[in-house]
Amino acid sequence: MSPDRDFVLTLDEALDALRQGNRIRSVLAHYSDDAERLSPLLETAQTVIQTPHPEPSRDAAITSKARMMRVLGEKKTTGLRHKEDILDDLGAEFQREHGKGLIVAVLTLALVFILLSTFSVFTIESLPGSWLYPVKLTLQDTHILLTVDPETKQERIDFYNQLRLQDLRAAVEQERILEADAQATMTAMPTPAPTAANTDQSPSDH
Amino acid sequence: MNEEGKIIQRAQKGDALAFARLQETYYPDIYRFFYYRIMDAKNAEDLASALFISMIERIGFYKLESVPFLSWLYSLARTVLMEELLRRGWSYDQAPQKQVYWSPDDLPSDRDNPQANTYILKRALARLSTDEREVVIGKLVENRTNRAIGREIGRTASTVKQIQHQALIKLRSALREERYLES
Repeated sequence: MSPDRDFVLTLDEALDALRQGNRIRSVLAHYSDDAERLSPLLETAQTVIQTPHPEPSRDAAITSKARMMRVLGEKKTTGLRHKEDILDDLGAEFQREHGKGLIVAVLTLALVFILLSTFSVFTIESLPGSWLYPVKLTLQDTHILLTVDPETKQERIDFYNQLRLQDLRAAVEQERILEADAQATMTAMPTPAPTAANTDQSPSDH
Repeated sequence: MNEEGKIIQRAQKGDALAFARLQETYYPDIYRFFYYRIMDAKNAEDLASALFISMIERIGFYKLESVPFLSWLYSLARTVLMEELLRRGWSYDQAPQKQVYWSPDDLPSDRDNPQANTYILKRALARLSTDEREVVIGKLVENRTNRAIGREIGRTASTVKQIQHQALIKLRSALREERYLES
C-alpha cells in the first residue's frame, strides 16, 4: 500500500472519530505519526461540522406540510372519481354497443318460449289425423330420449304406448281415421320390454 | 419492527397522519440537502416541498429493511433536483456557482453573524467539483457513510475516501481565501 493511500485511510478513520464527537487534539494524539498532515485537514472538517447549517423557516415547513396534505387529499378524491369514471364509461360503452342487440335477443327468446308453450298445450289434446299429432309424438319421443335412468325410461315408453293406443281408439271412434290405418300404426309402435306387470298382455290386447 | 417502520407502513397504505409525521421528521434534513446543492434558501424550500409531494407517489416502492428511510429520501431528492435543473437548463456543476454568485439574497456584512459563516462556507463549497462537494456535504453535514455517498455519485467507497482527501485540501484553501480560516 502506498504512503498516500495509507494516509487516505488514516484520514478517513480520523474523520470518523471527529464525527463521533472526539476533540481534534485527542484524535491527533491517536494518529501521532500523521498528526502534522492530519491537523489542517481535521481543522477544515471541524469548521464544516461546526458551521451553523441552514434551518428551514417554520412557515416553510408548515406550508410544505399543508401542500403535501392537500395533494394527498386530492389524490384520494381523484382516485375514487377516476374509478367511477371508468365504471361509467364501461357501462355506457356496453350499453351503446350491446344494449339494443341484448334487448332484441331477450324479446326473441321470450316470444319463442311463449309460442312453444302454447303450441305444446294445443298438441296435448290432438288425435291421430290432426296436423298437430306428429308434433305431440315428437314431444313424447323427445321426453323418452332425454330420460337417462333405464327403469324410468321403460316406464315412460309404456305410458306413452298406452296413451297412443287411447288416442287411436278415440280417433277411430270419432271416425278421424280408418280402423285399418289404426291397426297398421299399432303394429309399427315400439314393443315394450316384457315386465312382471305386462308379460301376459300385449299392447294389442287393449 | 421499530416505530418508524410502522409509520412508513401506515403511509404506504395512504394514512395522512403518517405522511405528516414523516414530513415533520425529515423536512429539515431534506431542506439542507437542497440548500447545499442549489445554494439558495427559497429554492431549497420549494424543492423540499416538491420532494414530499413526490414521496406520496413513490413511497409504495420503498422496502423496509433495504436502506434507511432518510437514504431513500436522499435518492428521491436527487431525482427531484435533477428534474429541476433540467427544467432550468442548468447542469449539476453549474447550480451552486449560479446561485452563490448570481443571487444577491444574503450578502453578509457581519462576520460574527452565524448566517455569514454559512454564506462563506457555501461560497467555499461552490468552488469544489461536484463529486468533492457531494463527499464533503455527505460526510460532514449529512453524516452519511462512504458507501452511501459512493452509491449516490457512482463511485466505490475507496474512491470516496480519496475524493474526501482532495476535497479537504481544496476546501481549506478556499476557506483561507475567504479568510474564514487562519493562514
